[in-house]
Amino acid sequence: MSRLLKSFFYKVSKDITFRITLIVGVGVAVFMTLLYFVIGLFMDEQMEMTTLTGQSMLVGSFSPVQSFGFAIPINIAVFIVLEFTQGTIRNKIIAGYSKFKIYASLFISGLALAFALLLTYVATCTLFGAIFGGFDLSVTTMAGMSGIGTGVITAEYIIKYVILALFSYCTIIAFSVFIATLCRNIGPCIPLILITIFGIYYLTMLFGVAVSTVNSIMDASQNALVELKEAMAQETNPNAIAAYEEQIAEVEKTIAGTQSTYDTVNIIASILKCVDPQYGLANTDFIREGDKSFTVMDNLTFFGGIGGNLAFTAAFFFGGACLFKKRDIK
Amino acid sequence: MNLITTNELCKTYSKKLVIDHVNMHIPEGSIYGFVGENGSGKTTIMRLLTGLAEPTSGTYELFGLKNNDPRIFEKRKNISAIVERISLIPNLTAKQNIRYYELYTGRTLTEEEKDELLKKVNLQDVGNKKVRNFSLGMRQRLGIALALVSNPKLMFLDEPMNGLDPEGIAELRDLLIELNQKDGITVLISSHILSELEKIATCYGFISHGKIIEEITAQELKDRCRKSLMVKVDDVEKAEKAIKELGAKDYKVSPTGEIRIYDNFKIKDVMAGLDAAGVNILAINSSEESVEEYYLNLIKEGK
Repeated sequence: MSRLLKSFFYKVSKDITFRITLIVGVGVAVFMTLLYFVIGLFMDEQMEMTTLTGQSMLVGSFSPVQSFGFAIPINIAVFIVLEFTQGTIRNKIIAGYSKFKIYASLFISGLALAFALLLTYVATCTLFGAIFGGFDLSVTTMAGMSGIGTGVITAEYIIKYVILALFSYCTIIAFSVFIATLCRNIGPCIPLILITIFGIYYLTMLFGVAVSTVNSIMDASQNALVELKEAMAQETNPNAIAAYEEQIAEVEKTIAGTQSTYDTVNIIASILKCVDPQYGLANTDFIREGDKSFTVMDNLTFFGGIGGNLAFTAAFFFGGACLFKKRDIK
Repeated sequence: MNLITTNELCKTYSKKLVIDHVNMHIPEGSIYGFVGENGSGKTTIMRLLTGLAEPTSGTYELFGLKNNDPRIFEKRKNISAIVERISLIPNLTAKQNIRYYELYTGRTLTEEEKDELLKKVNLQDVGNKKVRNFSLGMRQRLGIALALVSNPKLMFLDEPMNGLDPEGIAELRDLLIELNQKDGITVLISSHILSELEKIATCYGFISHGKIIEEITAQELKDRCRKSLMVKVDDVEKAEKAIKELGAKDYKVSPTGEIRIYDNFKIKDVMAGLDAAGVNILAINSSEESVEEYYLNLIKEGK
């Protein structure tokens, strides 16, 4: 196995694509930092916060669906597909390596490359964020992925976030290796990876919004129902009571209808939350203490996220290995 | 001892039987010439034996181990192959490609050994040229050099002479003979250039439509491709009778009206005999059957 890894890394080290991707990663990191720096110049005073800080860039740059994140699984898939198109997989099989060992080496190499790209990008973002905005864990700043919210990013949150992000990338890379070995061709491979990663992320987001919208409608209807019932209790006029009864029946009908919509949407949203490896990263919660909001990640999200990602990684890894073992090499 | 033995080996693709109960025997230390028309199944058999494809049914033995024996992976380390296409990394130089092979095969060559290897395949002057800029022939040579990196005991070469110029073919031929005779490497080689194969093969396997139609040693083939007298006549039955009367024992009558006599007769005696029997001779000539003719006849008979 170590020989397979060594040979893969040797090939990558000689490949200009990897070096270009690393340089692009650093370039995008510097650009993103400058972008937030400029945004901060206009917004910080109005919003009473510091948009750009080292910690905000640290947690913001881990996202697999924002800026450089999505380029990582694509890059890994390209390297894996090249193993097939250049015929190096064939040579390894002829040289006596089992298909399982070869698949495992592809996954480990893919993971190592992904972490190298990711950590270079995150480190550059954090470094430049800290240079321009400092790294003070007591200031209110942009928290989580961009657009999620603002608050004080706590050390505990950063640790949990980084760990969960690394597990999320494990799932994403396991999925990318699975798709690359399944397609063995870069054409269908890239759209499949992008559509899946972005599709699940945005669907989860969309259904999350739908759940809260339906929930608000339900709350409003429940309040209206209570008010109507109170008003009817005070009424003595039989005609008015009859009118109230009619209105109450109407609201109850709305509540019943909304409830069934809520149940459906909620089930889909819950399923998507389970399937989305980035769910924990995309949902930053805040607790309010005094005049400040603090970022938190509850243990259920953290451990649930790790467990879910481990399960997905294992499923894609073993599923991919079985598929790879069964199919002939062309 | 056979290095490879297959037992009723079958492979189907989309329900089509492309390898049909093949029984092959490749002796240790031989150069096994694998001959067959396009699509006959040569490459598929090589793919099965190198582990690139799994047999649908049947088994094979490699170095005395069955294909489903887990220890076979260890034995495969003694194999190298160029099947269908040469697997090279285009953005690396020849030496970097060798280094890449070294890394996963676990054999490390010194700079001198690498130079020696490149010299063996006449690529000593490529320097830092990237493989993507190599000609087809150069790639073919580098592929062979890479196949030698792991110091194999068994080599599979699928049409290795494709893309080589006459000089390159002669060099490859000499190299394979050297590897076989000096280093004892067993070679399974397929080629369409039968005249070249004839110069190196120590035994042959003829395949057609996924079936092995004959396995034969080079000596046996030589005996069968011996000198003969070919006569084309208007009445085959009469001619056959006349030839028998002349004392011919070893002859073959083809459905096209050709009679091939292997006994040592003079042309004028045969002509006189046939003339006396009232047979009109359309053509007569003395010939020696080549491997190609032998193969074509074999295929015809097989059909």
